Amino acid sequence: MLLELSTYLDNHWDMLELPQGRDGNLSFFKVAGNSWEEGRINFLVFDEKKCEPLLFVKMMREESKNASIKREYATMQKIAARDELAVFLPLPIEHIKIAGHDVIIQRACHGRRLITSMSRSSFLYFQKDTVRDNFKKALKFVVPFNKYMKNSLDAASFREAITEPLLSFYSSFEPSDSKKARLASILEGVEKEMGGKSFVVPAHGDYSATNIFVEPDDRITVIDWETAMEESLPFLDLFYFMSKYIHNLKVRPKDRWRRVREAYFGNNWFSELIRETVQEYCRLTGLDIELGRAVFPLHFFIKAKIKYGMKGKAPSQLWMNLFEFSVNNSDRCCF
Amino acid sequence: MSFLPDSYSYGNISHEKWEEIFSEISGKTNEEIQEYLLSQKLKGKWAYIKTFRNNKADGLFFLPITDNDVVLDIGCGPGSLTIPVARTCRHVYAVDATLARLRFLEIRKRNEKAENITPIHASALAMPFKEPLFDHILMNGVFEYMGEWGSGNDPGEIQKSVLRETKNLLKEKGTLFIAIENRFGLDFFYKERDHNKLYLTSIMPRFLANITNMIFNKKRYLTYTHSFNAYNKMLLEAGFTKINFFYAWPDYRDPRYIFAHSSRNIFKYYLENFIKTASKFNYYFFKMAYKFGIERFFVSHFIITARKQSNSEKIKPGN
Repeated sequence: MLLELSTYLDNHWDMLELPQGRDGNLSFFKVAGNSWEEGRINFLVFDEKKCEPLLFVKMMREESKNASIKREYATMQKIAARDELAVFLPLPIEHIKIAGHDVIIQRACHGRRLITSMSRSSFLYFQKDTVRDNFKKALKFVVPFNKYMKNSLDAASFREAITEPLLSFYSSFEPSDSKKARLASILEGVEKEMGGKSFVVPAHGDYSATNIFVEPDDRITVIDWETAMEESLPFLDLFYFMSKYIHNLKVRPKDRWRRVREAYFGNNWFSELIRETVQEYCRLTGLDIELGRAVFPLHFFIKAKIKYGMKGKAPSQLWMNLFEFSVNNSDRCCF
Repeated sequence: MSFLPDSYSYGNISHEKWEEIFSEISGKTNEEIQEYLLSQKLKGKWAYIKTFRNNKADGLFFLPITDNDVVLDIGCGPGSLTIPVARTCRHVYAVDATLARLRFLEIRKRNEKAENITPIHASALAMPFKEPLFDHILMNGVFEYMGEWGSGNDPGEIQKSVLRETKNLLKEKGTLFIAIENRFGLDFFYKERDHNKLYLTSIMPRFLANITNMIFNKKRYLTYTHSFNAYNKMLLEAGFTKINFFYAWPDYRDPRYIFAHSSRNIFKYYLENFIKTASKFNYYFFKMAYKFGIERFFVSHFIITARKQSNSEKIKPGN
């Protein structure tokens, strides 16, 4: 498999806009990837004489799951078609077929992942500037992404794209009738806050510090579009970024889920930063903060849905718990 | 197909418990089997749950397997490598000495509709094959146990003899795949136990490891792992060529990162971009090791691929 890939890369060197004057053989570095059933495998491709990777290659381990790679490629192509957004993608991206596998080949990022700036210290005091700076960096992409790819839908299409799939997914958790009605009312609330002009935006689906590269020229590159959705809601990626970031920190309280709850529903330094960030997002996108409040609990819900699709019910339950908590405490939300 | 009495160790799970497990999981889907095992209070269950994780076989991407190849998986266990490799080759012969593992594999085989797998109940030391039939032979976490299966002899000698036998079963230019620990891997100095469940025995001189094992486990130390150089020498002596070492991190059972030891630039990249954020101790240790060019002696897990020497490649005596 890697031999065939290597031959392909040799034969398509120029098409992939790779640097001329290669010094050594190609060498493959298997990096991370998912372990579960729908698992992907990723490789960084190196010229073995060079210290930085040339390409990033991803494929499904099983040929039968190829559709997911095709979907990811199609989404990235649509985003790349917008000049304002193309700068955030690791272009060029190619989609090829090797030994029966659909393969995405993209430029390798050369900066550092945002997550590497995350301190392992348990003292928040020394990390405040970095956290604030990283929240600002996260806005750099998510603002144009939500601003330039809005797609207006009539009420029926909105329900078909957003409301119905979410209600249908909720049934996997066997909720009571009152809980079902509550979710339906949250979704109606979102439509209402859109002021009769329903719209959808795409969402990355896993917009976290792990998937954001800060390039040497300080540009942001967003990778890992595996869970991207073409029709989703604004605010979602921003909320998820903040939740996941606060969850990943090593600061107290040690219970990560409690830390997230206290950040959104308490009155601590994080709450203040979240408020500032959401206000800034609204200012830059022109979206109403009331819409943000309506969408907020759904980011936990949609993350539970994504987790459920990949890893099953148990891992998704933790996000579902946050959804329940956020609905029950909506009056205490920090923004 | 069985060439052994059902007497080999069942590990932490008894015969009786296995019968109960099989009556529960027969006819169930992979997801249901995992849910059932998760619900059981059972020591040793994780090896069976984790066998469903496809990434365990990621090292196989570095082997040139084609859909026309025949593969022998020695010590296949519940099929961590057997099932993924079956999707890419013509046929897999899966050998294990523990019947329960093969019955478990049989259920997985049915669920995956992998008709090209033949489970064989046999010992790795008495294989029911004599001819060079295979394009690839896999030994994933097995080679270190060979000493336990051969009665009384020196484990190192048994391992050498297995390598020679293995070579004889490979077709011309066939490849051997071994996933195994490095005897002197950094992890075994301070945090990981050896195969005998004791700390530090792998890095001790063999006689001391023997005494330690006699004291704590009441038997000789038989699960030999070796250093980078020792594996290389054993493979060369057994008649293999084109020996490639790959580093598998954090270990070969769950290899999140794999790259060739010869690609030292990748090691540097890995050090700066992955180890640095994961463990400061590992980062500084391997940074120093890299500086002196000795990191291969301390990486804890290897995936080794080696090609059977063809007749034309053999060095004639006297040369």
